[in-house]
Amino acid sequence: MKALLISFALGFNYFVGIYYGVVSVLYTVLLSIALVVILRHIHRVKYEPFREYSASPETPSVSILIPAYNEEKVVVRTIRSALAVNYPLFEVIVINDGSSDRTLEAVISAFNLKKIDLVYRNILRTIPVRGFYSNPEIANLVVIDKERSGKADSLNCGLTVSRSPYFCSFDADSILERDSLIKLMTPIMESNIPVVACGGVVKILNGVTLNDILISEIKLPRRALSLFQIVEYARTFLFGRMGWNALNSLLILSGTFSLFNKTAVISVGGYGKGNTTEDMEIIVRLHEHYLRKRKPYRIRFISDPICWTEVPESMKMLGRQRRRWHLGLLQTMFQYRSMIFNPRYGRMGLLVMPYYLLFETLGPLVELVGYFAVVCSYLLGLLSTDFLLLFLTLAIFYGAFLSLSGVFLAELTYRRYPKWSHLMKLLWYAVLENFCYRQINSFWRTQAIFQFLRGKSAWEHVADKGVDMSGKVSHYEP
Amino acid sequence: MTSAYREILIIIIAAIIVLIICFLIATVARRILNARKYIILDEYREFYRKKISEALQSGRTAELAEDLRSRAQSLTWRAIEEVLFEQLALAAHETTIRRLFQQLGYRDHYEGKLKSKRTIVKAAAADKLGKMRSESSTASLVKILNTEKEPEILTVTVRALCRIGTPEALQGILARLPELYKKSLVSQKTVDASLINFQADAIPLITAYGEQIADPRIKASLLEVLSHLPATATSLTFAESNLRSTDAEVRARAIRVFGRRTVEGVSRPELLLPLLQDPVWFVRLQAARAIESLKWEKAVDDLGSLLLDPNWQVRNAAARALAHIGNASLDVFLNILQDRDRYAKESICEEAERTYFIQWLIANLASGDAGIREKSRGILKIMHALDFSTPLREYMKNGEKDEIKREITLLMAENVSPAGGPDPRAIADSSGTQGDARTA
Repeated sequence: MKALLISFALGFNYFVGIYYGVVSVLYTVLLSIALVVILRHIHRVKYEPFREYSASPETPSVSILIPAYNEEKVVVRTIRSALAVNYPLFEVIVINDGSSDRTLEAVISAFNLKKIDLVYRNILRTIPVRGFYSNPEIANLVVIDKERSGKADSLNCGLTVSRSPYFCSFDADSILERDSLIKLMTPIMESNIPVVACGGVVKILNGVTLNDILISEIKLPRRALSLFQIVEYARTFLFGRMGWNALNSLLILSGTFSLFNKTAVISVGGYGKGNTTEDMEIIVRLHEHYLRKRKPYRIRFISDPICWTEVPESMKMLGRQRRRWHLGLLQTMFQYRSMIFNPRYGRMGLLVMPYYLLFETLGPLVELVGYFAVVCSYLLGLLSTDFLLLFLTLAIFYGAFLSLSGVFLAELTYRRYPKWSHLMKLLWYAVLENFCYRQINSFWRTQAIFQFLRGKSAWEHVADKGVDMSGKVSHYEP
Repeated sequence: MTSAYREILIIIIAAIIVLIICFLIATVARRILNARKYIILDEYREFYRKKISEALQSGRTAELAEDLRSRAQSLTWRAIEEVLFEQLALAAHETTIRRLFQQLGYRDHYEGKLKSKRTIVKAAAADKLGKMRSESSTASLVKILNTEKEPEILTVTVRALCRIGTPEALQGILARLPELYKKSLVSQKTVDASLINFQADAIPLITAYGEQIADPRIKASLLEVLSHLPATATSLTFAESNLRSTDAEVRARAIRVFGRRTVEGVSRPELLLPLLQDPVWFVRLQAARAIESLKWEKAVDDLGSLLLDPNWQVRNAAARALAHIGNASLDVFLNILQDRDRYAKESICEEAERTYFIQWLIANLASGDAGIREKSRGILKIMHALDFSTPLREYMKNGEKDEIKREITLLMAENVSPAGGPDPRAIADSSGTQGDARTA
């Protein structure tokens, strides 16, 4: 029995070593690609024509869809931020998803809305709509009131009412940069190949000072948990997504703010309702559809910060968020399992989907079991002290390297944290992240794997997510 | 553990530590250098902004050119360049600023950079020449357009030439356009969005070129440009000649040129009528929109037929056009609303609310013209039966004229079915769920 255990532990140690090696190589490749792309982008941005497009009649119109559930305290600010974007022709559609607080009343009162009668052609089979509101003086604002049915269904509802060829999803607890919409539209207008979706960098709103609807001072939040998330977001957006973007292999664009071609999304049936991360599912569905039909397409990501959003500031809420995200990843992988290792889907089927399955989906489980196995092996005498120390040192240093590279890439973009103290703090947290935050994250994500195996698919709500959130019951997340 | 493994691990860890140190140094160094650079740049900008502004006001530009000379790419050089671009945007001293760009060597510097092999350097130089509207650089940019194969550089060069806006620049673009499109080197949207920088004086050149060219994509681009410029006799003639094109995109864009005029300014608006029956939906859509812009009352019957179009965008455009035309379209609205097609009727009612035509109809209830009053009343009655009665209720709550309120009360009491006859559902629901959204 002991011999079997020893053989298993040895075999598993080799597996963990190889697994870790492959992940590290892939991450390093993604980081290198992202570094080159971002360095080129900061030069290119000087001659990008988004300012011209922002006043051009040729720029296609866009509908900004804002699903809101119990966002009474922030929704008015968010709508005003959306109405203030620098874009020639757009409409803002707010979807009140059966809020139990005074979200609808707050919007009606702030914008002096009146009930109007609109025809609702239910092409995406959404839940019934209760009413529409508008104000003739703010002709590009429509508010839809409907029964509670979740974010995906709310977006489908907004999509049905939308009158523009493009739409973007926008979270009701976020703030837009003035040029965000035109920056997302620019790659679409400049591309010879149809761009069906485009996203950008989402930054963390916690800690920043707002002057009405504009960011007046960029500051770091006080809470350690938010600081860890800043480092994490920088890493995820700036090297993860930039790297995959260069290979036209993005599997996710943040639901907080992303731009889509409406016809493309409708042609795949709109947002899927059974998935807890509708933003990832819609991107995978678009890939699947276009690759299956062999139609040319692009899904783009730009390294400019476009939007600021709030993040959870308590362990409980962060845990809920991360479990939900991972559950969504698992659901998506399961739903599109036929794409994995399927040569029909090209790079997507042979590289990206297997990568997400093996390293993103199962990674947390392997990581936690790996820690356990290495420690057990040491206790069983299978590993020498120096190997154990070297292994742990390597893991920590490589993790720190990735986090620090995220901070470095964030330094290359504009709208960075301005003070030296900010930079030092972020560098420190990039190192610190590897000692407990990463392991706790892996634990939450492993919990999601077991939830998935038990058949759980419900959405865990996140309350009191960030700033100005006191008293909130629940709302959507990025 | 073998020493070989140990050594490999130690080497990897050492490499990572070196990389971490490199990133740390790069992060800190970049911030220090940028901080210093931008502090100086801000100071220089402030200084030269004042100096250049004063010199321009007083007309002492000859001495100014001598004072502003600096080493290319130095911070002073960059600060002066930025201030000159600011002044150029103000358009007050455009000729002087353009001459200064030339005298101070900016033009020569960027023209030199056009020879670079690096895409970003070349594209940035083309962009700068375009931004400084350097007419004398047209030939260099056209040469790039003719020799370059990199889409990014070509895209920026097209934009730069459009900013310069000279006839030579336009000729250069038009001559190269067929190949750019054929090889997908520039997106049509980029060309369309850039070409509209040309002003009305480019119209003869555009139309002359358009008459020679057969490629429908190029024709569509040219018509798109014309649709954003003031409509002249030349552009209308060119648009007219393309209304019967075999390419739907060309027909649609030709129609848009008509929309730039009032109906009096178009010699033959009747040319648009057959296009309302075009087999391609977006041609019909553009025709309806053009008639809406022209506010051409004689087209109301033809627009009325579009209210039953299979495409919802066309139906909506027709309803909007009719609502925009006003009282002349009341008969058409009434006829269609008395039809049995609920889908079409709902589209009309929706547009009547979205365009606030319903407010006009409500105001008509107090009109001195009995015909208009009765027709408006008839339309509102059917709208009410279709549950499009929120504005009526709003008027009852907040309206001013008692006469109108009385009329509304009466018409709300006389329920008709959505098909025209009495509607038992409406009677049963009269105190219930009015104003709720319909699902179809």
